[in-house]
Amino acid sequence: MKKVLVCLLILGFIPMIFSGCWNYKEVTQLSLLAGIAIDYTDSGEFLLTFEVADLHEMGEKSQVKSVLVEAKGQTLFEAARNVISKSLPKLYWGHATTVIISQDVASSGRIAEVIDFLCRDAEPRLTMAFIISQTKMAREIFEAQAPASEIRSTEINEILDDAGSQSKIVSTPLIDFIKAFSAKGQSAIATALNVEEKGGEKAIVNSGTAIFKKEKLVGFINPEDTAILNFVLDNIKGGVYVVKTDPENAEKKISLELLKSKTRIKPSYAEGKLSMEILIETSVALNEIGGSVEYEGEEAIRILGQKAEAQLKSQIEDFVRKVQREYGADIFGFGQTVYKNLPQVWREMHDEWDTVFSELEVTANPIIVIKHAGLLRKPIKPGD
Amino acid sequence: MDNQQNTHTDLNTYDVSITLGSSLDDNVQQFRTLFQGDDTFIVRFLSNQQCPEARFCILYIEGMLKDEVINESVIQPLIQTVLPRKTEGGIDHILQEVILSNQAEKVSDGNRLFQGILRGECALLMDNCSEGLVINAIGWQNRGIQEPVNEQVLRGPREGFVESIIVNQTMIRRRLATPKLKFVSRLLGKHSKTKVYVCYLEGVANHQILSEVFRRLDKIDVDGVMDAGNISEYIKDAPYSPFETTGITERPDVAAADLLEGRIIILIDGTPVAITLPFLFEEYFQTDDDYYINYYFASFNRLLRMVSFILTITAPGVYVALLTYHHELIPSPLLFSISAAREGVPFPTVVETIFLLFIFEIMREVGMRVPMTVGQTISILGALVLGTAAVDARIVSAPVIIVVAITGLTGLITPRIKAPVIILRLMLVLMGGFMGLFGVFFGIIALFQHLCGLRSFGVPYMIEFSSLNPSDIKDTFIRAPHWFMKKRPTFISGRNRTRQGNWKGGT
Repeated sequence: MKKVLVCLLILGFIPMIFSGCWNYKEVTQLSLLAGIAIDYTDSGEFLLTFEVADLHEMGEKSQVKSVLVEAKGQTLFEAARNVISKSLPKLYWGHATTVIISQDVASSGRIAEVIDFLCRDAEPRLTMAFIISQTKMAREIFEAQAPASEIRSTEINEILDDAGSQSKIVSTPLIDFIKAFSAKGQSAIATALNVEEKGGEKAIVNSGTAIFKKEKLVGFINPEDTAILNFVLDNIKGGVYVVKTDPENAEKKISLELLKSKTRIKPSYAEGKLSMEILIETSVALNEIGGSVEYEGEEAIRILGQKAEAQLKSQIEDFVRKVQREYGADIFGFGQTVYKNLPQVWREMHDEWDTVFSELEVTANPIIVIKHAGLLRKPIKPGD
Repeated sequence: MDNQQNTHTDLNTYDVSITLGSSLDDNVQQFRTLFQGDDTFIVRFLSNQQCPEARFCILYIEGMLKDEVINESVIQPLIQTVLPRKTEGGIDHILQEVILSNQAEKVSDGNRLFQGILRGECALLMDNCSEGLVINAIGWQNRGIQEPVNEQVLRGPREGFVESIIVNQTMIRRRLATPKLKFVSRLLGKHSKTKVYVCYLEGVANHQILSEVFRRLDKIDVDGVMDAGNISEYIKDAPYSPFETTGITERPDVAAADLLEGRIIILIDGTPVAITLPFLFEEYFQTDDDYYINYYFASFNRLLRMVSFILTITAPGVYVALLTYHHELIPSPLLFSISAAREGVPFPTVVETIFLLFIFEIMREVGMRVPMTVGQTISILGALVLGTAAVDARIVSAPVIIVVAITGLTGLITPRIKAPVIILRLMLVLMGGFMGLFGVFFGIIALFQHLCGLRSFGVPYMIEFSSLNPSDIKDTFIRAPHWFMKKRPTFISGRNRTRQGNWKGGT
């Protein structure tokens, strides 16, 4: 009995002593990485800029600061490991929230390398924000001011979290980018950020969307067009849509708050010709009347809605045509839709999808329902 | 060493025999020899006024008797009553016509007399008679009935058991006025001869459990029994487990309610603590209040206690595991602030946590042992010196203090389960420190295996948590309304299972 007990005890301790602690790491032994910017050096090597949470000078204050560390290397992994020689503990990627890639890297066609590195390693999260910088160097974003938080990566994530109430920004986590990047019949997009200088202070601003074709960055679209893109991609979760009610008078505008929106893309194939119909159902609330637009009663409201529908329709169709003409990149995922709904057609066309896409006939049919007009029943007019 | 050996043998072979003869002086001399060196032993000779040759002797121990009872009901009648001339064999006459006591019996066995004296009864011997009387006039001082400090209730009866088994027995009897209520007595302890009542409701209690209780009680062979703890350690299942498989209560209302459920109560003389059995894991989380207050509130409190139990055993272990293996599971801002707080702390998280847990346990024990008047000093020491100063001096980090505080607080909500909790907590911290969350979960799995393997007098310890029978679980996580509990718990009670009629309450 005693022998058995001793044996059991030893058996119990063996796994603890021999296999226990293999991954033991105190938090203070880690450099907590917040974000990373990827650039090229002049000689064509990768230049990685790490934003590391700096916790060394914190006493009673709860403010966390960040420091920027640079490292070069022929490959990304080499660059990442070169940081260790800079008297920092090993970088911990588990809490990194942002990857910023410079235009140069993105348009040089080496984006696949970056994705591969980020996905292959166990630590980085696939929920990291994937961002293309419109500045010359991606690291400039990290050098900008961050008014809300001392860490720029956190700040950027806060900007992206607000995307819901803005509609002018796309939020592309790494995982979404990879899905679009590797999907057939779809081109990838990514958030684009820029730095603006105002009164000597640099601030991070949303600059729309970066458009990829295959593995290369081909261009950017501005925030206004990004809102239209969001309508097509069924990404609308809130935001404002401004309608010009009178083409002659630019001051006459109404603001509609987007409450709910649902987009369906309907492909149809007839007589050897493929066409797309974008069906949008949006509920909005009337939020602001500019330049004394006349409206009163249900009929007026309905007319307002029709005006908004007409405007949105032409905006979407113009935007799609612009993308077809200028970039030829299927960022709307029309190819995917065809693949899913008309597999026969897709099989015939997928080889020359690029040409098909740029000649695709696209119509938009939005339905805008104005749910309410806020607390006012009539516009307020000046009295006598 | 020799001396100790002697005492021990002496203790074991102490059955002395007294053989009563017909000579009063000889008989008294035998008692005197036994009580030699004990000045509390009182011998009082008396003889009748009318008939001086009728001589008596009263033997007792100082302070154990009610003096007025002995004086007025025994001595006065013996001296003043007119006795028949022939006193030979007249002890029956004395018992029947002279002694004015409700509790007196004739005894021919000298040892029984001797035991009676030791227990505080009064022995009466008579000349020319080889028999004696044992008169019960026990009258020592008892503590008054008070509310038990360890089992206070918000609402409900306020009386608690006292040290006298007779008083305790009456307290239960008052609540269950039925002839089905049985008290079976046993004497435990070679020297202490402690009186023990095994108490049960006939027809409701399970007979197999009952006979098992008697079997285990009869096997006890010790020199003395002081408290319920002594007995329960002898009779409990799984003697090496830190979990109790016998319950305790100091409240007669709890004892009565347990009896009605079919449980068995063991009352022990000399302690206000009664043993209840079988005891299941669930009972750690039940309090008397639960049955007296609104059932929504009671159910909420009970869930609170269970959550607290889980927190108190896992919180430090999970903290250590997260902080040393699973950094990705902590929200970023929290990790940043924990990391900043740990900056400059020289010890690993495991060591730091165990150190603080240890300090907390010391504080708890100090709080128990120290006189009330010094209590304030202790809290100042704990709060200021160990809390603030240790953090400022970077010996420990603030988050650990918070974790230990949560652990301690949630541990205090279920004080009865303290002993296993301390062991489990330490085990889980070590497992967490060695193997991360895997270790913590292995530990929890091992804990469940252990708990599910335990039995209390044949009843599976965790049955109320593992049963799928709705009638078994309505008094576990929640306390169902009383009119829901129509049946007694199947696993405890015997054949008679119906508790109440069909009326649902309300109007």
